[in-house]
Amino acid sequence: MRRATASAVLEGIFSGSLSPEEHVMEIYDNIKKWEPKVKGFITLLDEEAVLRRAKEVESLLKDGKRPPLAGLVVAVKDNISTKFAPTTAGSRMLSGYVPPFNATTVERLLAAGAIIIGKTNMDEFAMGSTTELSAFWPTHNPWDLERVPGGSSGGSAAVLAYGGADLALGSDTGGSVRLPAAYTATVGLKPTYGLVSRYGLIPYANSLEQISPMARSVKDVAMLLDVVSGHDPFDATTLNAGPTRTSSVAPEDPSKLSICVPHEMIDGSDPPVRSTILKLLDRLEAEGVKVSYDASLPSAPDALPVYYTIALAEAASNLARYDGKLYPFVVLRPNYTETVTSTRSEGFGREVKRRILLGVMALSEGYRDEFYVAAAKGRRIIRDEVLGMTKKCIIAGAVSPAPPPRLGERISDPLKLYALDVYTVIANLAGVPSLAVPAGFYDGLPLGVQFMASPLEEGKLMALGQLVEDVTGLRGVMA
Amino acid sequence: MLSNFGECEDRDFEELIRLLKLSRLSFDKGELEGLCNDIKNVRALLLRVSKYKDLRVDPLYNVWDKTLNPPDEVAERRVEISWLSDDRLKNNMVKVPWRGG
Repeated sequence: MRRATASAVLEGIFSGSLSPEEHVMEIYDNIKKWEPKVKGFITLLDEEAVLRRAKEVESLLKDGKRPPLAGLVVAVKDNISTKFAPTTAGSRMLSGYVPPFNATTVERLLAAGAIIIGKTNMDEFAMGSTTELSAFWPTHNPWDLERVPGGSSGGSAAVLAYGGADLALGSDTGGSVRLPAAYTATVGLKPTYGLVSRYGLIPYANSLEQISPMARSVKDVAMLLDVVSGHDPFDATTLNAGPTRTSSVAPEDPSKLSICVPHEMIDGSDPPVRSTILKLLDRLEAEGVKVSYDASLPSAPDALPVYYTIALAEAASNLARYDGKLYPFVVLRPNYTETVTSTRSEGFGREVKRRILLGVMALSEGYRDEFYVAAAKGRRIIRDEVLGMTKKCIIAGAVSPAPPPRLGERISDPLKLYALDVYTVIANLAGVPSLAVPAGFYDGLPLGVQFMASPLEEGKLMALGQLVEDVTGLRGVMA
Repeated sequence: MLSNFGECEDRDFEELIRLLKLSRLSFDKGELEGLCNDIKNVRALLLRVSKYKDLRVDPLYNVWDKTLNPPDEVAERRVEISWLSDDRLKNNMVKVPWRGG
């Protein structure tokens, strides 16, 4: 049996009509049916250990406790540290690495009664938009197995789309939960920068990335965000704020919601993407939402080069730690320099190496001002434009310029691959929250819409997202 | 003349070799031509940011600025040798493989 939303599962568990153990067995049935075709997990935890955990949660419930995610099955992206399972970040470089600690988000999931079932596939070190750049295997989109599920959190999204978990954690550096959400008819939220702890996240680009909740409904995403958000003394970049309470946000009166659609957030998208989003916005307008098309983010066309310059510079710096000393993967050579070079050359995949080279270039003497410092100036201009607009309205736009590509269609040309992120990187540069929800289907393929609000306005996005679900009827859909 | 690398000129190839050395990376010989072209193309995309170079605005290195609360202090953080598995240790010290550890 497949259950549409985590909220419905939780209701069953709290009412006693469904036990965590029964629910875990249902999830395993889905995994056995779908996983050989989809390949969304890198590591599936031992079934007996997962069932033991389900029994633990059951005894908590018998003791009268009501942890907020009691008995819900969660899939965790493989760049989030778990001391009970390998954490590879989709890379050969980290094969065999079992962290000695759990990420703060993982600790919070466990304290909330969640059952972690496995670690999901991803583009190596989160560098990619299709999940084809995993060192292990590509993940397939459950809606069309010839197509990609998006990336880099494509494993988490694909698993949700076939019912292999109730909730999932991804990470979003430039659209890595929103693209997969759009391609798989699931929901993904990139929270305000600093709202969710990054402690235990294998770093790619620190100033841009956030661990991000994913699910099959907006309410489920809110439920997960409420558990993982809030200040963490182990992460100096978390905000001085407690956990959010977005799952209890009351439905907003549509007439109080105002949406702006800057043309830069939709220009250049394929006709089916554009028409699906415009149709949805018309329906929201009919519900009473104010929608304005007289809006512009003039610097948005520069967001992609600004983003990639900053992301690659930070990546080059972060990935310098992989030298064969700290982590298990090492290629021994007669001297230190050769050992480091061989370890890095054989441990990293082609795209990661390409990004390190470009990042090193952006930071190296003679280029730093022209690339990295210039990009940081551009980032301020883009950020100020976004914050100026989100003070007045929620920004709407496309998530991806095209429906989910076929496997192999984009990865041969880095420019074509990077272009998939053109609408999503803006939220990461500005640090604002951004929600991707299903907007409709075209030719059997899911298409998404993206909304951005001011920092810490996740509640407003959840209210709008739930209204979108009411209008489209796409809450809890599965492949 | 170093070699003929497709659309890549000698100076592009020299630049690639410099970056490979700085990054402590190597590629198979057969991959270098494609890599050189890719780097050249992506570099051209990134170069679009140079228009901001001379603008009189402060670079924004992270989104803290004045928009969000300043971050709190980090708790004391320690790495303990007991966290490492036995195969990474020798005489209660971390093994360094290329020093014969």
